[in-house]
Amino acid sequence: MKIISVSALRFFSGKRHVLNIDELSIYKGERVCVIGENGAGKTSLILAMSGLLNFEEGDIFFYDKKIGKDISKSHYLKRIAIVFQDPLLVNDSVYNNIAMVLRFRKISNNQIKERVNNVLSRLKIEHLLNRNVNSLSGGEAQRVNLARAIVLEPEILFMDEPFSAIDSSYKDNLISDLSEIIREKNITLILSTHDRYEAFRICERFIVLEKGQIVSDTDQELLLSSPCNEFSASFIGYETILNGIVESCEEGTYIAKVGNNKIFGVGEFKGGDRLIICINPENVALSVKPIKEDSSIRNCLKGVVTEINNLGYYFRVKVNCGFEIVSNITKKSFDELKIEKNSPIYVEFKAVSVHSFKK
Amino acid sequence: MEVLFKAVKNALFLLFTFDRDVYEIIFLTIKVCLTSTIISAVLGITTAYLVSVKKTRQSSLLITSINTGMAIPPVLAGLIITVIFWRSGIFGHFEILYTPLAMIIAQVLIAYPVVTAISLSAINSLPEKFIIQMIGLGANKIQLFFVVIRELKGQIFCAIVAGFGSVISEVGASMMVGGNIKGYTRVITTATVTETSRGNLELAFAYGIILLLMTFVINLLFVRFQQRKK
Repeated sequence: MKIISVSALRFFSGKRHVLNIDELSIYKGERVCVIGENGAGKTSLILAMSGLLNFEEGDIFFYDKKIGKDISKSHYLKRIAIVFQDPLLVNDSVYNNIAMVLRFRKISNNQIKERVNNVLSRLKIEHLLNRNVNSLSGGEAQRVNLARAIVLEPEILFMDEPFSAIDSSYKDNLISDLSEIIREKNITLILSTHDRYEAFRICERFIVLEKGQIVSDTDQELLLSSPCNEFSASFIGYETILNGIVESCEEGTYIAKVGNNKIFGVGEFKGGDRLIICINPENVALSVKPIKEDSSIRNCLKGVVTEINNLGYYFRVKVNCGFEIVSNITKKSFDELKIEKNSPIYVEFKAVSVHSFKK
Repeated sequence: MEVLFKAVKNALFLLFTFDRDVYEIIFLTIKVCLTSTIISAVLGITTAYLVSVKKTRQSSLLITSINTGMAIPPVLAGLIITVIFWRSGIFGHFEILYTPLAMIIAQVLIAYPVVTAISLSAINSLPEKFIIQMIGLGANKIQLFFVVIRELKGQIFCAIVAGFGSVISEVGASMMVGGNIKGYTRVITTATVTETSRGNLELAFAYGIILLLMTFVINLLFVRFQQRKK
């Protein structure tokens, strides 16, 4: 059942299209992630769908009822909730912050007390009940913010980068608790985030925005296997994203020119096609001597080490081969190869490990 | 120095002997100033909220006008009210000139821009998404207004105190529209001016000290309020 749909939505900033969406439907209980670069229109889409943005053209439907015509905006707003990156709590106790939103909906005091206590215990912050919000840490404040939205038992929960300001150790538990509540209460979630771990843990459907348009609407598996643009490639973890031009293509293997180098990849393209070429750092090997000979490895490029990051169990090495390429290697390999900054090195990767798509 | 010493003595004497004339003046001052402050507060906070929330093309012109209004000299405010309520003026038929009501209206003209400008600055200092967040959590227009005012209660209270300060200390408007009629429109500031012009400096000083004491009590209340907030 469609819970919310968007039709011919246009929103401009001056002459620039901030949002230009022909059709988008979200079904009840879906957990949707909106991703895109800064300025792609994620926040505007969330605000438009939540009825908080006055857009120039288009309609938003809630259960096929047009908001503002078949159902009033104020009625719609009482059935959703929104959470932003900043907690935006009022200067009062935790209890009063959560109770306040229930008072907005004219819920009786007895019920308010019960619902506030329930939500605090679900989010494991019952000990904060009487604390003033000014004395809370960033993570605690965001938990209270989430509690304030969840206590409303919204049918749709909109979240605009809600975990960006929280440190990773605190975020992990918060995401687990939130996911559990959302699934249990069958809340439809529309989340925007820059963090793939957040997105993959909570959401099942991914909408990729570019310049206000939906360029991909897919599931996790397809997003991971076939990113549609540079942003989604970087979102799912590709660290090397290159622009190339196809020189030739035979039997599903193409050769593309990238700077002064040539890269082999797989796919059916035509000469002259402009490609985005993505290479995963886990698929890039480093060697002191070239090992391409007598092997199935198609790509072997000579470069210079420009950056080394020790990431605990492995090293992230950045090599300049005319363009920068990132490789993740084990500590043992790093020690054996005696890699140092500015030392020459060979970068190797198989043609099949290259993901490419037309620009 | 001797004049000042005698003035303090005189002021305390007048206060503790419950001098009828003095208390009449004090009560009228409080009545006129509090009434004009309350009216200015209601109008000023509402205006500030509406200007801040409903951003229109005219907003910047409106904000500039409000800020200019903060500098309105009390004499000019008095003159405007006098012209309006003069017997041949547009509202002359109301016959309120030289009454406490005319003084209240003139003082509203002085305090209203002060309260509005400070409240507006306070509301504009809220994070951009605060209001959107509250609407997104289901606040209707009235609930939203009270949430915003409650959130900014310290700064809004400061705006009201500033408004009160501007009217309790003014003399020009009260003198012009009230006429300084003893027992009817005479307030502390106009009484001070009258006694000074009569050469009765001790009594003028005594009124000045009483005015200071009143301001002190009000500021004390303000500080207590701020401390309670923390």
